[in-house]
Amino acid sequence: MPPFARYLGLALIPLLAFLAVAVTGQAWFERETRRLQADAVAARQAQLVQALAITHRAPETWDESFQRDLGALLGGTVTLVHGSGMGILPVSEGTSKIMGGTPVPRGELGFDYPFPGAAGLHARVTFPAPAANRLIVLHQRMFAAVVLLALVLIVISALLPFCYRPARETSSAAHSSDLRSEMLGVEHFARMSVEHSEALKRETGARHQAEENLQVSRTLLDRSMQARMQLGRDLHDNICQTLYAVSLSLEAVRRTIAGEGAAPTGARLDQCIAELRRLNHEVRSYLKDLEPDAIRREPFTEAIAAMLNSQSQAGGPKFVQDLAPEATDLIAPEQTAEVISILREAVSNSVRHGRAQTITLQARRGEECVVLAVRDDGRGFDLAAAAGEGHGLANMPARAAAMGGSLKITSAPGKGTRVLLTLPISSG
Amino acid sequence: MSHSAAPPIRLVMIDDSPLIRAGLRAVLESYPGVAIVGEAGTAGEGLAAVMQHKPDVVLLDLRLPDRSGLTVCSDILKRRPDTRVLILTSATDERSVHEAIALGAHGYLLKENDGASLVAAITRVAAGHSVVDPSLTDQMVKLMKHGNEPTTVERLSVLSPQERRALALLAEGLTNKGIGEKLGLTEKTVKNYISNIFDKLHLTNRAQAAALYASLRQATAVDGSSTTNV
Repeated sequence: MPPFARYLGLALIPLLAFLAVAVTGQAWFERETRRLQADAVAARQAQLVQALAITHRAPETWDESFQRDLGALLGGTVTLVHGSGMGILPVSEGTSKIMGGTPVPRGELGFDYPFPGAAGLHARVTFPAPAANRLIVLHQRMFAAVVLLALVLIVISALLPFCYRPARETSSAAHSSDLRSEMLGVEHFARMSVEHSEALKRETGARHQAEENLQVSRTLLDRSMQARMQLGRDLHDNICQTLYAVSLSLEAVRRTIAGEGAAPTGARLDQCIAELRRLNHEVRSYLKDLEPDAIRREPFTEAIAAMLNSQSQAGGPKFVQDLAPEATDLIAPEQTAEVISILREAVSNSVRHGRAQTITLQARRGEECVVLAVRDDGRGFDLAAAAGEGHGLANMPARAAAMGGSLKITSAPGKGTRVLLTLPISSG
Repeated sequence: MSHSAAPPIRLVMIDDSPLIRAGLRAVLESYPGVAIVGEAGTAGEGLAAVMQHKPDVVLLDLRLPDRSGLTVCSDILKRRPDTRVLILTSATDERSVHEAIALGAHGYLLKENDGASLVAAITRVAAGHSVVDPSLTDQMVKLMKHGNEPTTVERLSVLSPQERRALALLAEGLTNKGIGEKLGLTEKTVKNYISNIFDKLHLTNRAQAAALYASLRQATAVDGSSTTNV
């Protein structure tokens, strides 16, 4: 049952009680009033009868003064009225009542006394209501007021909780909502921290993963390089072996040729043998770059010198070294082998095709990089035309890129050739 | 320079390439001082041939299909200690040379010389001398200096000069920032340098690096004549 109805139900009981009391009280008051009035009327009536018995005057003979005297005697007003009369007249509370033609003054009782033997005539006696009557009325009114007040109070008290409740609820609601928002705030914060630490963990995990991947990549790169080198070694080795075998055979043939007529043949054979040996020597030097100890033990400068030495030929171009120490210092041993190999190819190209007089090898330090240049003053070549000829021109840039660097070849007919190798500084 | 009276040097060839064997045979046959008494293409066959023919000199290739030529070398010298072993190979890597000499080979030649030099070498080896291919002199000197153990110097040779300088500064106790200032590098680059150095040298912390460096200082002090610039 909703609380309002409950309250109303509860309020109803004293309400009914009061009503009952009120009604009973009113009835009692009413009875008392009537009794009082009746007594007053009876008393006056008796007095009137007595007075008439004494005076022995017939009503038709009454005059004003006689009526006045009678009135004084009875403590009211006596009026001779034509008509049959109305019995006892009720107290007129409000304005004077006109009853049967004669007004009854306010607050006065009255009765009509019919004359025996004189039909159509009666005396109207009015007299002020007894004081007790007024008192009773006052009491009555007070009582009614009190009852009304009580009624009102009950109703108010019934409704009051409902006026208060929303307010109280709002205030407590406000209080608890404050608490709630605080708790929500704390909860939110806690959740955020958990999320943050999760995110941090994830990030750390990702970083570790990335580092691991880097490590694996390095290992794979290393292994693939090793594999490539092994392959290269085998290839070169086969070539070297063959060259050696062929040169030996030719040498054997050379030794069998003797005599005068053999001179040209002998000379030609000598040439072939020399060419084969030179080729063998050159290929073998490539083999050096593919040694299983990928990390060369000798410093870069020494390796350069050895490389140029192996490329030098009698009557061939002159080699000039212009290597800045701050540049060569930066080249790590693990880079040396491959760098030397690339440079060797560049130098070899210049020697074989460039018809140069001077080949310059330069090393300079750049911004976070080392720049190596092989320049020749030979005849140059048409880059576009040579690109498809399998001179290994495409190979060099690819090898440089595999090291994380870049290679650029600049050449023009009559202008010489320049090969530029840019290397990132290792440990970056 | 062979004396016709002296018996020819008896030679067994062990090489897996028939082409090489044919070439060698062709050339050596024109030299009366050398007589090929046997040839083989595998380690097993070679060993058998040596035991059978009892040559003076064995021309031995290191790359054989069934076993390494080095083990053949030690086997031959164990079973027939008087045999002179002349290694003829295209392998120029340090390790092979070191090991061959260590195992007792009497000569180490590369397959790039002419027949005349080969015969000369065979003659010298047969006479009791040792022969090493001229292009391997540097390696020989190094071998003589340091033996076969990787020295501290060698360990450090995997570093670039810049890295070695960084290591020196680190061993002195400088922070990465300090090292960067000295070498003109950013702190981040130095950090990468150091981590790379540690990887190369198989180190895990700066204390180890300092210790390694200290031992190097000691070694070079004892050596007195270190050619490595650290």
